[in-house]
Amino acid sequence: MNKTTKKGSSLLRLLAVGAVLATVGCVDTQITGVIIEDDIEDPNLMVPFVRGINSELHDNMRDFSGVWWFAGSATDDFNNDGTSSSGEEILEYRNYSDRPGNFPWAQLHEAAWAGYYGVHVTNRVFAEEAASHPLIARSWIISGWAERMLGELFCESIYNYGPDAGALMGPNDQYDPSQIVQTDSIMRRSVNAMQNALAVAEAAVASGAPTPDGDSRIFDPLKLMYAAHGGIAQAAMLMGDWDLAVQHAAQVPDDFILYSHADPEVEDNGWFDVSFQNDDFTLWNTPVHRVFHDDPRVPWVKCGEWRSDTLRTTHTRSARDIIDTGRCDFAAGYGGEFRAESNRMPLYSSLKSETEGLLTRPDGETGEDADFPMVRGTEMLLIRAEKALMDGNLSQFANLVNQGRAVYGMDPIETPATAGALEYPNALDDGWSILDGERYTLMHLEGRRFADMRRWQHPYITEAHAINPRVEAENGAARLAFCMPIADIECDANGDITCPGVGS
Amino acid sequence: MSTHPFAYDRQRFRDTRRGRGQATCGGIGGGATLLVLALASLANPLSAQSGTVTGTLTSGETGEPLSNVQVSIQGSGLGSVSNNQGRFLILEVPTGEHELVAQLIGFREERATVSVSAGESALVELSMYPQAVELEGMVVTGTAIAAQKREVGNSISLVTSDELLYAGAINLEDALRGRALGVSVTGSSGTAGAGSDILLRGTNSVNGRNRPLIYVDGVRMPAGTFEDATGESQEHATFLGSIREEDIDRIEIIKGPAASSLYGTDASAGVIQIFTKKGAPGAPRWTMNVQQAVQRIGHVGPDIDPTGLRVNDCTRQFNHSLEEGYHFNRDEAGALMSDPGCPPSGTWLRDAHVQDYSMSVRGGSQEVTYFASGAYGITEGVIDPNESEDVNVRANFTFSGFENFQINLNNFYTRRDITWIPNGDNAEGLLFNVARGDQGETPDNDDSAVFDLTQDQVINHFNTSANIDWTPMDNMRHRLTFGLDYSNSHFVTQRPWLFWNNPRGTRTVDIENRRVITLDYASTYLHELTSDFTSTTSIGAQYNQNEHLGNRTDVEGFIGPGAKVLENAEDVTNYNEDRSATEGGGFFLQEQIGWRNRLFVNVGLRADTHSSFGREYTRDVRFTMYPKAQATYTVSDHDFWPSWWETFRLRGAYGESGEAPPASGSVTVFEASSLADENNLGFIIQNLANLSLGPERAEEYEGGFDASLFQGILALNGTYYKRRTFDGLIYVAPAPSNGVAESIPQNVGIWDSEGIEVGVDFLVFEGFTSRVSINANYQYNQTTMVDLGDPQFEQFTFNYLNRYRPDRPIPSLYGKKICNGDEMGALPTYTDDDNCILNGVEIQNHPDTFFYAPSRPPHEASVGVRATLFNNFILDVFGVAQMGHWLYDDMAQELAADGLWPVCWPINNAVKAGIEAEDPSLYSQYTAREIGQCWENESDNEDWMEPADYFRLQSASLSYRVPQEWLRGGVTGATVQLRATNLFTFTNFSGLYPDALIRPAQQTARGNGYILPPARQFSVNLRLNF
Repeated sequence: MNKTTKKGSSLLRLLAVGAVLATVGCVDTQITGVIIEDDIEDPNLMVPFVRGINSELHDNMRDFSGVWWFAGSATDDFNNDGTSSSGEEILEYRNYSDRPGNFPWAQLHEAAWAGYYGVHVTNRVFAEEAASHPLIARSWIISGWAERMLGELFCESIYNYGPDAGALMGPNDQYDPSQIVQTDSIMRRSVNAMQNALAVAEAAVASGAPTPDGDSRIFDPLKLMYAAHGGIAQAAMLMGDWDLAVQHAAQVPDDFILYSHADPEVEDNGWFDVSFQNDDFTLWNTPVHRVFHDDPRVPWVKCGEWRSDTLRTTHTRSARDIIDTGRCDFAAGYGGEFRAESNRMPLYSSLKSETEGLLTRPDGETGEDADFPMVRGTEMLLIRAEKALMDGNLSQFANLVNQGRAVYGMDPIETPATAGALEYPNALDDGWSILDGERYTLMHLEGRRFADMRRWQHPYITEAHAINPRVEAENGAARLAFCMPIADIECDANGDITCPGVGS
Repeated sequence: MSTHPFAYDRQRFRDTRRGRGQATCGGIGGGATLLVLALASLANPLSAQSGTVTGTLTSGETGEPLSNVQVSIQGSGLGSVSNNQGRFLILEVPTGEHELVAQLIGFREERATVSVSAGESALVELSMYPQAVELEGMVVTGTAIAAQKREVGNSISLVTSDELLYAGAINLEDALRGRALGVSVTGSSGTAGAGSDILLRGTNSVNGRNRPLIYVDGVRMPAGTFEDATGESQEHATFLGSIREEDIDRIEIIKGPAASSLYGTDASAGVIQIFTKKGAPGAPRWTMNVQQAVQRIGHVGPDIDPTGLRVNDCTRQFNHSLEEGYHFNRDEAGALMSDPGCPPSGTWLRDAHVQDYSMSVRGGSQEVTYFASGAYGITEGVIDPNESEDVNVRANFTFSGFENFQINLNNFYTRRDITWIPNGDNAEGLLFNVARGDQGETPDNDDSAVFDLTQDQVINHFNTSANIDWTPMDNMRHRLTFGLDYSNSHFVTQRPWLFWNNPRGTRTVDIENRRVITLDYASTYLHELTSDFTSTTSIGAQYNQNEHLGNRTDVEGFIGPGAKVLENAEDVTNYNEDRSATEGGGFFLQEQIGWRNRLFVNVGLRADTHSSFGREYTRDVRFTMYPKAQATYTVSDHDFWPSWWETFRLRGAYGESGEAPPASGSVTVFEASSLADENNLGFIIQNLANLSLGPERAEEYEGGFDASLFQGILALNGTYYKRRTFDGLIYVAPAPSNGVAESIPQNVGIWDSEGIEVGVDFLVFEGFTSRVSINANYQYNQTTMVDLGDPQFEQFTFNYLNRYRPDRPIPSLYGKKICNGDEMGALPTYTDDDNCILNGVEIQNHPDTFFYAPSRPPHEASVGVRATLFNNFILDVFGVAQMGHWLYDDMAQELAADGLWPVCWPINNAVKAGIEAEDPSLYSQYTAREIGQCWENESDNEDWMEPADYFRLQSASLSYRVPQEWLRGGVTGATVQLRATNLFTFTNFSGLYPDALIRPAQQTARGNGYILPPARQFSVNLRLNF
């Protein structure tokens, strides 16, 4: 018996050895060449970390299927004849037969999430410095912009993370995926993020915090502070809090502008590609062509001319109908091969990406180098001008508009006789028409027109242009709908929500 | 019948303590030992009243000498053990007639009467045959260290070296086809170097490896295939291809979680363990094998086409018109037109030469034994320049000279040089272009241009292991195994400068290194509880590490002809480096209670962890637990059991095991991004971790029996199993509102498997130095999807119309249905049309796809006949069948759609004429289904899904053992074997071959087309022992 007991002890010892051998901590996964979460708790990595967060947002400006493209196709930013596969998508959502917008829906959620996650990580890494660290302000700002862009394009969103869902959580925390909210709530989240950014940026300015990585274009605390003010104004206006919007818009200098900076070496610029490469996108017959053809804020080029006015009415643009003006450099590879393939060309293309000046990069690079303005002082002037118009103060309205036009060296407008109303096409004959034109030209091709048209119930929105009537019907309004529906990708994957047919 | 419950076990341990050999008459210089012993007997005064008995024991099936046979004189207490040449010697046997008994585990006991004269030596030659059902043999796989078969509650399939000898297989996977219950081998090809895929008990996993764990002498090696980055050949070499059948002693196969619990994670798809040959005490025994063979492919494609889609005969162009019917194209002068590029031989095929040479030696002393082998072979493919050149070296050593230790060292090295040809569903492939005639992709239809694209793969594979057995007491045994498996594949695909499909030329170098480290410890303690009850307690701990280093570079743009290297190219178009490693480990505890060596109840638990588990996989404190419980009862050991039914054992087992999740699934990974903040690098999330990620788990119940009746004339075994896989790994795309929409693996899937395995051995005749036996196996395996996760995964869609859907077998074929298939002279309508009436029900534009059939065979069967005639001739015939599944015939569909499938020509021409003339009577003799298949440009994928049942006469061999008296010059044995492989296949499948699969290693999709059928091989083998 003793012997057995002794052997039993031996067995237990062996068992212990085995347990130690294979126990937790002894095993590890190595995936060389990638950065894993454990690696990023390093102050030296925070600059590339926050830069990376911005790339999630940046995609919506540069990518072919980004926010700018959806908003531009749905509005009069450019004409999309729907002959390419992407064009079909636009036609589908106008016909209420599908739920497009997967890319911006996913990418904006990811950008917002990444910003919150950035705050989460940078707060932990910088500890005591967190309250005044520019990188934290930058992370908040990215979240705020992503939220704002989400709300501009979509009427509904799903709150699954972030400040409104409680305390800011980590990336793997669980949220309630069943909460559907409307635009106002989305903008409130944007305002919330920007207010947080503002607090940190102001603390950074006050404390003289150094500019991370010496990159004053992006991380200068003062610029971050202006951007946060501007961000609050942008979102507050869209949620209807005009006092808040005007209060913060007034804090931004007239000539202030903050870009999302593109890298021509590694990315395609959607503006450039669409304007020059595809035959089915054009500025022809848009307000740029018809009304604002002399406005420096919307530069364009005539790539082709109709051979006859008869042909013009057909809207076809086959090569035999069009005279190549030779101004669009198709031979460079863009457009050239596409035109050869389809025998078409765009009649008018935007030069917004090729004109030097405030609308493009400060260093004057052109073409695919074009950067994407995120917030401007001139936009703030128009927010204030709109409030003045709403208040019936037409002279203040005109002063604020002219203050912005002066930045671009443009002639002032006269004070309009009446506030008037929007019309389409725009006759530029009253306060609202002028404001419509100013906002259109200032933010042309930046994805902002869509939200303006919705909130103004713009006369451009006819039955042919309305989108997602279900949402408007629920709101009980007689307005024509102009909202992107919740994207298919969310409806398919989120079992906690019900997505009725967009045409129902 | 059974012995005392302790008798065998203690003997088992003592064997280890002393080393394998007992009082053998061999040892180094065994012949000399015999002589000394014989002389000693002469000097013994008692020898005048006694004599000696000596002789040789061989396998009746193979003629190979049998070592370690216990030979005894009945009732005398005298005995001996045969040496590695099968020879034995018993001294001082009293004069007179005696009964000599020969016993060897796994073989039927043999007896012979021997007459001993004083001072003389009586010679006995005995042949022994495998026992149909034997319970005393030891098995290792799935047990703590080792156990008698009668103790094991799960079914275990064994493939012996004898069976491999007669398998006549192209490769090791092929050798297992039909030979072992529960094993499914799919994918057959006439391409040299290509391997097949192995599944145990059907589909195991959706996103996991779906392949069994492979062990070689206790050390893990990768399963599956080497990578082929460019995929131009669409076939792969397998890791198992590195092991020669001639080096294998036996293969043990356990087929599911009921048996594999002690292996824990990674074992839910079963375990295949290969034991290679070991040395035996005695003089060196050499074996030399020489094989010369020719491989040939029969008719390719539809029988109606005498040119075999121009593959068999490219000197003529087969065609059809309504006016002429089938005919050959002729030029204006009336001469037959041939295919451009047609080789001078007039065929794209060749009679391929296969040559294989090997030499092995085994022997040793009581202290050290060895087995060493070397082999060299060249296998030509049936299309020039396809070829595989293989070199194999093995050296196994056993050290038994220690008091309580035994150490085994096992090593092999294999090098394979494979020249592939571009093939498969590939615009640059040979069959793709030849079968298309003048509608191919090659310039001027010169299909020989495809060979300008070269693919050369060099594989180096090394495996080493050390097993240490320590038996400190009779009832305690420890085993420690350490091993390393290292493989390297260097795969180069090159399109030369001015290549027709890319004039700039390309080169891809794909280097893949894999290293698997195994550390395995186990201990067993045997304890006698009472005179009837025993307790066996076992513990063990294991660790393994898998490392993968991959490096691929694609370049483009060469200047000028000739051999190139990467740096000669103008542009690097793609490069990829993959460095990853995972680790896993665990320990187990097992207790077995035995009753009178008849009833055994076994319970165990394995705790496992793996580096791929998520950080918050908190169940079981990051360990996952795999329980097991087994019981087995040998009813026939009772006295009441009828003597004509000599063996009947019932067994049942329950167990769980798992499948490790992907390495990156539980780690949040960031990747570099240059897309923001111009010219400043950033990093963004590549995929979000599933911190709760755990293993895919499966539980399995199985029950069965083993029976032997009428003195071994009939042997039966049967097993039923039911398995549920839960926590199945599904890649779920989370809702974007979660923040990151990239798919992450989640444990949300459930699928059920069920099956039956039945084996029958029937001894038809025995007598007159002849023996005829029949073996038949049948297995049914079906896996049905239960839940793919909620809600977006209503189905998975893969290539070749394969889908995974709930409540259906996986994978299965789905597609639209033809509505009026049997209607004569009608154009086809389908369920996605707006005028479909299917089975009387009107269907308008039905968007869904319909279930057709499983694409893996649920039914598999094999039958073999082995006849030993007059001791010297052995005839072995073996056939396999797969049934109950359908395949999509990609090649026939594509060619029919292009008007190029010969069977379709009359139909297509008639329909086209009828449509043009608006006269349906021109095609009134054809059904809508036939028209759907064959009408050019209208042929749809679904029209070419069809049953793929087949029976194949897989091998037939005739061996002749040269009589001993004819042997000269030290040759102790000689066998000549004539062998034919893949002789005939019976099938109604209209494609090239029902088991020639596109990318056979692709687990999720099975499709047929553009892959060469398996070749017939006719070989002559000469095996010499000396």
